[in-house]
Amino acid sequence: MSGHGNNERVFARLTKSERIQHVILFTSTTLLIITGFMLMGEDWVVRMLGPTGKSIFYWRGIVHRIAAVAVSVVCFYHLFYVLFKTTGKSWIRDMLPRLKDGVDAYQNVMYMMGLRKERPKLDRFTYLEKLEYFSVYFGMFIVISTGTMMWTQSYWPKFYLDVADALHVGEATLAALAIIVGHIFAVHYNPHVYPMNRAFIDGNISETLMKEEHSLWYERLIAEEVSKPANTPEGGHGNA
Amino acid sequence: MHNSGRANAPKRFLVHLVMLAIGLLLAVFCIWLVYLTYFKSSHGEALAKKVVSRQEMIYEPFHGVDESVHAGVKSKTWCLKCHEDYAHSKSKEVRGMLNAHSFFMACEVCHIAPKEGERFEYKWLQRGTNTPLTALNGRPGEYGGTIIPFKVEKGVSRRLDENQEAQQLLDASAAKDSDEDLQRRKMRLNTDIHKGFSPKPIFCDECHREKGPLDFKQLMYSPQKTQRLTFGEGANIIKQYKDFYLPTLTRSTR
Repeated sequence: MSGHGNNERVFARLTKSERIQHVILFTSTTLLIITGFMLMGEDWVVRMLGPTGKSIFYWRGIVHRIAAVAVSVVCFYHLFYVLFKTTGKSWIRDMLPRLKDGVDAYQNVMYMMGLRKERPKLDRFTYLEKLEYFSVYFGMFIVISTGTMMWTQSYWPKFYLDVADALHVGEATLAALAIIVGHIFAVHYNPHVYPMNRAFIDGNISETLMKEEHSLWYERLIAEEVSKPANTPEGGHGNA
Repeated sequence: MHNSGRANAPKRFLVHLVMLAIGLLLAVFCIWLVYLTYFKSSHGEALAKKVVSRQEMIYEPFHGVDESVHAGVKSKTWCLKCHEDYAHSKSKEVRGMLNAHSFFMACEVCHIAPKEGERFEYKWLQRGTNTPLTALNGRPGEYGGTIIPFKVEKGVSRRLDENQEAQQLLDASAAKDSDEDLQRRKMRLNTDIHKGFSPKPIFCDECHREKGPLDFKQLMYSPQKTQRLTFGEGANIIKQYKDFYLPTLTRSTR
């Protein structure tokens, strides 16, 4: 368990809109991974399904397409969100890569190897979170464009479709492994948050976790609080 | 505090159990993905072939190119004397596929459908020698034969793709363009030749099915190929998609 007490002070980490976007993203991505990799299923599993397999695979295609539309909509909405909404602008501003991220990465590796005594002070988004976030942009661009090509296959020459297919499968494999090994570990199996980081449900992060994972951001919020006691509840800076 | 900790023990155990189960499931899935990507040769090879080589792709349904096309071997059916090698030209969506068929089968296979009570049989005959093939060796198009339809009447098989009079007349009229009598006979024969032809040819899904006019087993196709030609991928595509499409991306605007 995370070991944080129930009465511990919490800080707002995700807004309601961000949480809804995340729920749609992870639900549809899970469906896409399951229904997509079903096509790579082992022959003996497919044979085992017998006649039911035909209807399962019929629905597989429909579910895959519905999930694809959902993930595309949420991606385009997210672009709109970070470009035009106040909280979104604050999100993308804090998410943009900086030179400090490189320094943080180096110092953190040194710390984990025991060659440095203190962990670097990390900001609202760590270098790993930024890497993961922008990987989603890259991945979504690949899978949405190639998926659209395969959905409208009658308009494309076969060679283009074969390239699209290879890219779609390759990127999906990379994304699935990155989500499971990187993201799921970070938000579920990391000892600091085990069994789960509840920010995706209630939008909050505990003070202990703030100090452990985002100490620079924590210090800044406390300093702001001292100079200006009233905090905004939205925008990721409020405290509860 | 101590009691509450003890009371929470089963709950914590359950959480650990669920997390362990999920973790194991995800680990197995990750290992399978790595296996698919790096170790499952057929998958890796399929991906590589798709992008790198067209050698295997050309045998896939709808993108199949018969070896005879590469080799420049023609069925030499006498219809092509007038209709030329690429006889099908009306529908650009399907003409490529139909012309590909006419490289290895006589036109009469599709254009003369057996009427009620009539019995047809289809055989591979070696090009040039006209002797029946005993086996299909090599890749499609390398068999060296043409599928010929025969009409069986009173125990006697008659080739439907032969018309001696027409053959002689065509050869003679080609040599003597100025002979009006020959040209008149040619025009009359033109009507006679096409009398036996069905107004509507046999379409793809009428042949590519079980118990269709062509018995693929009798035509010496392997069981796998027979399955593919009847209920396999190609035939399913025919059943599912009655309309054919051509890619528009690279289509010339002229």
